[in-house]
Amino acid sequence: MTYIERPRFSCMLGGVLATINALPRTVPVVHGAQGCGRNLSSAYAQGGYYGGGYCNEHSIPSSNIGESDIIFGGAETLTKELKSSYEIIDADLFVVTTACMTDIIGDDVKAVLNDLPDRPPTVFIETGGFKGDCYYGYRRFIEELFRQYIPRKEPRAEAGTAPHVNLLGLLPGYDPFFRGDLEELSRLLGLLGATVTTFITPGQTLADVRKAGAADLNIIFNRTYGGELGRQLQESHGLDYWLGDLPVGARATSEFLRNIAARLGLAPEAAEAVIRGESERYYDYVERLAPLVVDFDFQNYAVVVANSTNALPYALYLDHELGWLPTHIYVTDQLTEEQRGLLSARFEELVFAEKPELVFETDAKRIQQHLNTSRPQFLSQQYYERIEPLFILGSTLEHGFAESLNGFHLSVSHPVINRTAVARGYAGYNGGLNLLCDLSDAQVARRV
Amino acid sequence: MDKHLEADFSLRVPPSREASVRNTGYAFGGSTCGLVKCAEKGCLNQCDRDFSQSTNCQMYVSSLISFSVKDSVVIFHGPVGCGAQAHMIDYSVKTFGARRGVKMSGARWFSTNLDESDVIGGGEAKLRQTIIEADRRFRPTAIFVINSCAPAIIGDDLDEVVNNVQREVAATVVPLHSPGFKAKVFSSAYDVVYHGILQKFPFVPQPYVDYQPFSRADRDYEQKTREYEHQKSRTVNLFNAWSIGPDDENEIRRLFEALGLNVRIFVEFKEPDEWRWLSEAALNVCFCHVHDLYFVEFLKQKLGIPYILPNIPIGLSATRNFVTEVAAFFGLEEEAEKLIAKEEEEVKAALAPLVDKIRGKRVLISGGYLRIGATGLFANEVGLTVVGFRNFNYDLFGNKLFSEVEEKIGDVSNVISTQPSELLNELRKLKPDFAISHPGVGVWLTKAGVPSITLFAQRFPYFGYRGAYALTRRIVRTLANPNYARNLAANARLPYRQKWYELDPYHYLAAKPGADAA
Repeated sequence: MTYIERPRFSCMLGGVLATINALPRTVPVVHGAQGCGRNLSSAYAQGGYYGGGYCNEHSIPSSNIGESDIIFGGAETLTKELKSSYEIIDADLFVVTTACMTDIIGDDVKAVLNDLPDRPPTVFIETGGFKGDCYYGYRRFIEELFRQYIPRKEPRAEAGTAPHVNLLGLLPGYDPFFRGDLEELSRLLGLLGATVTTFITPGQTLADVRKAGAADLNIIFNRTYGGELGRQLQESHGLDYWLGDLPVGARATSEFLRNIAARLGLAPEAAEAVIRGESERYYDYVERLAPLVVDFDFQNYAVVVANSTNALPYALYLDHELGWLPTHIYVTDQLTEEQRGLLSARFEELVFAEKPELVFETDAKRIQQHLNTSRPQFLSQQYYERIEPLFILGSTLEHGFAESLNGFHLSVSHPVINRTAVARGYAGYNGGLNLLCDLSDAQVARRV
Repeated sequence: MDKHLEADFSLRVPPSREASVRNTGYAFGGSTCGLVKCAEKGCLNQCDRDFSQSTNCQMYVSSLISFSVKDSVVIFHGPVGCGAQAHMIDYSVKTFGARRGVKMSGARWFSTNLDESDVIGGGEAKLRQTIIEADRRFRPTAIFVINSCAPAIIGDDLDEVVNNVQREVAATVVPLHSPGFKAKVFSSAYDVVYHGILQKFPFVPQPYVDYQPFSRADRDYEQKTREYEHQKSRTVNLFNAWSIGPDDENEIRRLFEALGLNVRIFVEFKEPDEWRWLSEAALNVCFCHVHDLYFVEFLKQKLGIPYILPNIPIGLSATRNFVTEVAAFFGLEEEAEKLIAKEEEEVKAALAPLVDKIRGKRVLISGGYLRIGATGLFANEVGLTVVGFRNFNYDLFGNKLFSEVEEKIGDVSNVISTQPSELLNELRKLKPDFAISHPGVGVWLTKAGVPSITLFAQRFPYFGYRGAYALTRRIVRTLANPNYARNLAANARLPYRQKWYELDPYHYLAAKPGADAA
């Protein structure tokens, strides 16, 4: 792996802390230097100002190891920290994480925990930042959460109970619209009659989390680390999984609901009724905007800059729903050859009106260079072919770049600094409408 | 006479403030009197905690000056998480540069992105490549290389890499030794950054580059030289910091220029080439010497420029002292007195109707020690009741201010803490109506129902007379409608058991191993 200019992801510990901060009544205890917890909280907050939380940032219990711990070992410091945390922190689940320095010096955290036999529920995971990125951290943490905290499925409960699904593959902060996405998909799966564990949306409880081991299906919205996550949970808990794209907009969502209904063995007619009702409402709203879209020629060429979870779904939405022409899709997370292959294979299956170029690039400036140099622009003195009209769906890092190309811009991927996420989501029918609204807003915002 | 700092600038790496002669403390529960006495006796730095919470680290704090230097690039040498929050600083560097009339390029930075194999095999080669790429890509004046914990433990030789690569790049490469675990007092970062800067840059203007020397053949040579020396003798260097806004700089510049002084402001929002004018001044003064003491001491030893350490110019009395102390150095006491009298008269008239609205309200103040002490004095001036101070860290260099605080405000609660747990516990005892607190602290206060104003916000003035007025307006505005804090408090939960609030807020303070029990 090489250096990166302005990377859009953080380290393994960063991903784990982002996930813990979204779990109900769960508090991390970081065994590391004093800055890790605080800094990495600020990092995930850059996903649309996702900065609050029950026990984040300056509140995170942390062993705050110093130079003498590095020399003599930090186990004793961690023991003190854990005892105190258990005394005064009001949590139903603790997660002990490590950091670079404690992993390098090799503190034996398991032994520390074994010496605290009366401890409240505690999950332990080694999270040295150099071991991987935040997406890797998310995957490994979900695996450990299942292994150490979530009971395995009981022998099949009585027939006729509602099917139960888990939603996985969205990382808080780094998938900035995860809450809105998960709430909308939860609503839709609920209409199909399913019970849903999202783990990380408001209103979830640890009881919901513990029921996840008895689910009928893990639905995983990431194709690069998602397959491994699905296999690991299949191994540890015998859970089936469905791996697919985050459904954005009516067409993708209708297909998603059909697929899931079939996997769960639900009556197709019931699913079709839900799809019909939702689609009618959806297109009623879409139609209301048609005078604007048609009369002002709101069809754009589009460039998508996002992580491996969201890049293809956003591009698909633009192509399938809006009839735009995505020209380039930049995938910004750091992927292995194998992971790139998985995403490329999916990309090859997809049908676009005009096939965009799929590019794997983590480096901020190189994305701009690539776009600037990959198309011949000047055909003659008078005629030149620019990507115009252009809309860039990317992060806040692409804002100035879009302006320099006379294009529009919407921040949809981490870091999202120039807008807030709150309850917004882009998945499902409502998410499709949200995205339509935001893409249109960007184009009418100058009408002042 | 202000206390001076003893420092050895020939060291490869400056010691952290808690390990240096400053003996800075980062854990203390008590009151102003005890704090000042402990600092005096040198026994402040004997405590640590058995329950600690995450806080700032010197690695990230080191990036604040680095990003604010014009035409710089920052390299975080470490795994990709170190520096991952740096996207957020981009707009503020650009915005507050523009407000100073300085076009900044925003935050330009790289991560060396160390992985497991680098931790085993060393990260030096990767760092070298990154420096070369940063130089080629941006052609910056300075490249700050910020070291993090992992490469410091595995023993990457930062200085060696920097010295070797320097021949191949146009930018001046500055190594900053700032692994987080090495300093609990995170303001150690300022010493680290200035140590890097003072090793790598000259602070004397170059003839024929920065200026055209007067010709000896010129018949006005002596006259011109005298005039230049005169102007130099009326020039004061001021030192800013990331928390100091453009309005703050302008306000103090306005006052000093009214006295006929020339004002130059360093080191942020200046290109390193402009730092060469540092030598052309008669006096160095820090806006907030928590940041720059190390550097002005160096400039004194190296260039013989004296410095004085007035407290930060916040509120009427501290601004009066700040202006008076600087004026006294230049023999301008009378002019200063006239200026201050006029300014005070005007601001007091403006403050009068505001003061009636806030008199007697209880305020808790939290953040860096100079800023909170001076803010406390001002709060007292406008009739607020200061119920407590909460310092990030503390040492002897705060005693001049806090002796005055004790005299004027009394022996109120005064602690050293970065921990929200201690803050929320103490809140139940102090019962403030509102707080003035460093960013990152206020959210916990607000969730506990106590509205909080930020202790610095670069978009508002805070220093001098105009700052005093603006701050008072913010206080009035905040107190006028506390519904947001009430709503949050009624609906957000705090992560501590009831049991915690029954314990002493400083229950987990513990003597450091080997600390003198006395």
